[in-house]
This record gives sequence, C-alpha cells and structure tokens, in this order.
Amino acid sequence: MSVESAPANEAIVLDETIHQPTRLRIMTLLVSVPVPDRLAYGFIQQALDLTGGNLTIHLRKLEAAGFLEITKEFQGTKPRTWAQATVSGRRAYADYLSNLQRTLGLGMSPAE
Amino acid sequence: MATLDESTDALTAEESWQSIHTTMDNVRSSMYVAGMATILLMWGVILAVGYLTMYGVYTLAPDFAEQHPWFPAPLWWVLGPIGGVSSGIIGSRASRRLSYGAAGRRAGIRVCLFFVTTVVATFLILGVAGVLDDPSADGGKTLTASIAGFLALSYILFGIMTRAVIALAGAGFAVAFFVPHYLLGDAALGVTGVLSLVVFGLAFAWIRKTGEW
Repeated sequence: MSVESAPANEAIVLDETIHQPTRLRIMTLLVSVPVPDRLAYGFIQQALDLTGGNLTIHLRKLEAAGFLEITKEFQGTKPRTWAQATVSGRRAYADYLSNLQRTLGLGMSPAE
Repeated sequence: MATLDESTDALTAEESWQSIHTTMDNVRSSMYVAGMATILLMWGVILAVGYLTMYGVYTLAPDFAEQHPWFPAPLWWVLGPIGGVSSGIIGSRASRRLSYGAAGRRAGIRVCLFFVTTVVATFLILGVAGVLDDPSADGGKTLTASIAGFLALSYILFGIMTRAVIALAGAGFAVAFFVPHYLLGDAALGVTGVLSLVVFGLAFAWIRKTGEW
C-alpha cells in the first residue's frame, strides 16, 4: 500500500496487515510491553473494547503473518489464552511506526 | 494532509498516530487498575465495618467509649492492614490473569508504592501536627476525620492518574464522611458507614456492569 507523503513527496509503504484499525491497536498493545511479556486474551479484549469474535479474527490474521504467537495453558484449573508479539512482529511494527512518522514528518515515537 | 489509500477501514496517518497514542495510554493505566473493582468493594465493606462498629460502641456502650477513648485505634490497626494486604493479593492475582511478565509486575509495584507512600505520609503529617499524641475523645475524632480525608485524597489522586471512576469513588467517600460529620452529630458515623458501602458498592457495580472506566 502506498501513502501520499507530504514531506518527501514519495510513496511510503505501510504494512497492510498492521494498517487496519483493530490490528494496529492490537499490535500497539502487544509491543507496549517488554520482551518476553505476554498479554491475556481477556485483557486485550477489555482494553480495546472488542467482541470475542472480532478479536479472534484479527489475532489469527496477525498470527498468520507471523507477528504474534498465541499460547494456551492452564492457570490452576482455568484455561488461559495468551498473545505475545514475535521478534518479526516487533520489527514490522517498528517499520510501520517509522514510515508513519515519515508520512507525518515526525521524528519521535509516541512512547517518547 | 497525508492520506492512506487503504481500500477498506481506511485510516489517515493522523488517525493511526492518534490510535497508537490512545492505545498506549490505555494499556498502561489498565495494568495499574487490575482488580480495582473488587478492591473498591472490599474497602467499602471494611470502612462500613469500622464506622458502624465505632457507632455501635458510642451508642450502645457510651461508658466504655468514655473510659477508653482510644478504642478506635486498635480497631483500625486491625482493619487497615487487613485491607492493605488483601488489596495487594487481589491486585496481584488480577494482574497475573491479565499479563505475564515484567510490565505487570512493575505496574503492581508502582501502585503498591503509591498507596504505601500515602499511608506513611498520612502518619508523618499527623504526627508532626500532634494529632497522634492526643488521647482524648476529641483527639480521636480529629484523627478519624484526618485519616478519612487522606484516604479520600489518595483515591482521588490515583483516579486522576488512572480512571475517573476511582477518583469519583474517593470524592464520594469524602462527601459520605464529611457531610454527616459536620451535620449529623452522634449519628454521623452510622450514616457514614452505610454511605461508604453504598459509594464503593456503586463504583464496583458500575465497573462490573459497563466494563467501562
């Protein structure tokens, strides 16, 4: 996908998998915690105010792209699903952020 | 303005940037308030038990209260630590259900340090002001009101930094304590006990029902 870039007047490629409102928020959530932290499915759903079905669809797309890993395990007697950004997912997100900054003519990440 | 030519669900670059900011703010504060609904309800129960016990002693055993004006101190020395330790356990268990790793731990430690600091500051300030040295009944009432004020303030400050409903619960508790304190005389502690449970119970119900903060 290309972007009409104001500052450089050049086509900037943004990752299509990440550049979707829900998936962008999911990836932002997952990369905002340090490696090797992982977040519970319920937490992602609550934090982003998503339905279970919607979240599952987007998690699967991100997992298929290799941007996150989904693990299921038992905590005591309760099953829990966890999501964790992979190294390639973090790299893709960093590239996305970098390209977004170029598009906007910014030099800082939101975390700064 | 830069635009993105996504065919569906198109976001402008500015919208993407804003979404990233909002999500990051949300995840940080979400980790700080893990288990907070249950913790608020628990403190509503603890405050109600404490104030209603004091009201009961003042009403049903006035001679005992007069001979032992310091009796609220051991009551709160038991209830306070129970509430503090229970809050830590509830928050820690909730945090482990939400995330696994350093971020959740760091958030839990920060929340713990925030409330420990407010407790230490409360007693330092009251000690310097001489409130802790006054064994009379009036001194006990001043101490009770001062601690209620600091407790409300700590929830308001924490809520301002995290979620509005927590700040509202703190403000509601301040109203529940100080309005009866100045207007209702002997019945004040009984009314405050009931209103404390109502205020924190409403905060709990709001969070559980709406899922919104």
